[in-house]
Amino acid sequence: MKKNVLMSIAVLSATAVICVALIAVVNHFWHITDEERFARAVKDIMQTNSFEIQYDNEVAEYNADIGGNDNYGIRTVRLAKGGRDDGCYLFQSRGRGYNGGFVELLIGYTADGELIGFIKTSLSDANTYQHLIKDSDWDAASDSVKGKTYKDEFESGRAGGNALQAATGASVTLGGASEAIKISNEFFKKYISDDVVEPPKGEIEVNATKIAQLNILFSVENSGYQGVTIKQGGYVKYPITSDRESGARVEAVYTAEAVDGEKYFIAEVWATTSGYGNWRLLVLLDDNNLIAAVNRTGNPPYEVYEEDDEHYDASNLDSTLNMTALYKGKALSAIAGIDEYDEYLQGTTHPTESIDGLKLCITHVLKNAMSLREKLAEFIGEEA
Amino acid sequence: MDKMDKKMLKRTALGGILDNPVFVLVLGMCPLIAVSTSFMDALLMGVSTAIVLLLSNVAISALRKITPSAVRLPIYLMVVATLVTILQMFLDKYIPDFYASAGRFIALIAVNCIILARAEAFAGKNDVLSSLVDAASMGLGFIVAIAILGGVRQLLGDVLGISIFTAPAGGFIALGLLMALFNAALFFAKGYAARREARKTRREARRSAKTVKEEAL
Repeated sequence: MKKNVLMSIAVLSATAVICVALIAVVNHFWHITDEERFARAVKDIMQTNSFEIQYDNEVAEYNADIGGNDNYGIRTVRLAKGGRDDGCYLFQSRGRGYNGGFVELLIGYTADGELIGFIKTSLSDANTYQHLIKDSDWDAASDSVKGKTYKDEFESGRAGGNALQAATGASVTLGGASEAIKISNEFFKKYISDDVVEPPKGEIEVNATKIAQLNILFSVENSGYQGVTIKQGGYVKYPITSDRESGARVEAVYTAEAVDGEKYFIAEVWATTSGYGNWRLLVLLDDNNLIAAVNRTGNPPYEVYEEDDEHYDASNLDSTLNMTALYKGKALSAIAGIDEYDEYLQGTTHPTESIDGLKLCITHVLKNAMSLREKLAEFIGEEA
Repeated sequence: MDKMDKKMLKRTALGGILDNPVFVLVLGMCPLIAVSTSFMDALLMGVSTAIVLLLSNVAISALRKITPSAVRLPIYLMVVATLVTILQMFLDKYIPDFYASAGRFIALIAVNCIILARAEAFAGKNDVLSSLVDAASMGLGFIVAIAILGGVRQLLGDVLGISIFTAPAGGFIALGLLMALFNAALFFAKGYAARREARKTRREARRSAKTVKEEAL
């Protein structure tokens, strides 16, 4: 009995050792290096395998600006050397997918910034939706950006297209792909192209609609901010803070000056709640207080209630949010004020869930108020 | 090799038809349905499985005398898993496109019923030559079956546009139809062979009766 047990253990152990040794030997000969994998991936969009990594410092700076991390940002920018694609650029970028995952793409650009296409190199395993996308769907997504330039995609921010997203059921994943392309386009525009990115200082670089929206904010009756005009400041194009987990980010910051010379800044905040659309708020901060007004863009949450007469009163919600100064005079620390307004709004419109988006915007601004202030201080300091 | 051994070897060599792993034994359905959406993928999957089957049968047969009965299954699994890992490395290195599309099913070969069934039922009990013949026959039977299934699904699904055949449900339908066809053909072939054998027996009986009669006269 004992002999049998020992024999079994010995044979098992010997078999395991031989198997592992065999695999190790084979792995030595057939191991695929990272360079080989990279070359395999690249060959679908570029003909050359010779690249030189460039813009290291700029990549670090850009990633810091956008709040990049392991799941979000540009990994490398390579310049193609020799062959048909000499002078083209290859970006390795990551966009955020679902549930803390990421989508990594290799994106090819001509020297002039025309998109050659993209391929996915890896997907994190954080969510199963990412794997709903078949290779042919990725090809279709890649085809959809061919011939466009970094400028086009910067405006549209869409890699695939709604039809593709609906077909695959993986909108978040393609959203991640879109994000990877979008930041690559931004980087190209900022560091590689000859385009001037920063608007001239001392002038607000906003269009008439935006000025009108900002003026609504200042003209609200009894808001205490009448007479504030947008006189100086800048327009920050890139997200200053980003908080994907809560579904909110500050997308732009404006400065403003009152007739008495007091300076303010206004943050344009975007937030989304699952299933209830997007909110885009303009939030004004002065020394210790804030007011806010709604800027109706994107996908207003009240569309959810459009077909539900019992719970929807568009005119009520619309006028309420646009013409009322929210949180007038509230201290930044008085977050509890949100609940007060929450009750009031629900009493009139009942869109309980959609209010979550509004709250998210406000709390996000409150959370990031200090860093926003610092940014603005830098801005105003530079101008001075 | 005596007459009995030759007969046994012949029967083993015909195992891929008479005991076809797909159409008769209905083994290894998961990769069969998953990868048989096109002829080429199905063929490569069949060849991959057959190679693992061949090597594992030989290895297990060679090790059978030193393999303790109590731990034979873990040892079979280790051997098969090692072979599959090596196969994966090979495919990833030299046929990356196929590996990218069928990689997860390649790994599943390690627990494919065909491999383990042949190891347990045959290779673990017979000599290396017989195991090699058995694996070659079964492997060939699997390749032919999965390639036909892949071809039929590609023809009906991609060429004729009956899209259900590219989905797993269509795979089962196509498999069912092919299985019925194969078993019907096998039934008639066996019947024909039995009738032929009976005729031969009767002829021999008549001949021996005639001989007896002539001797009596």
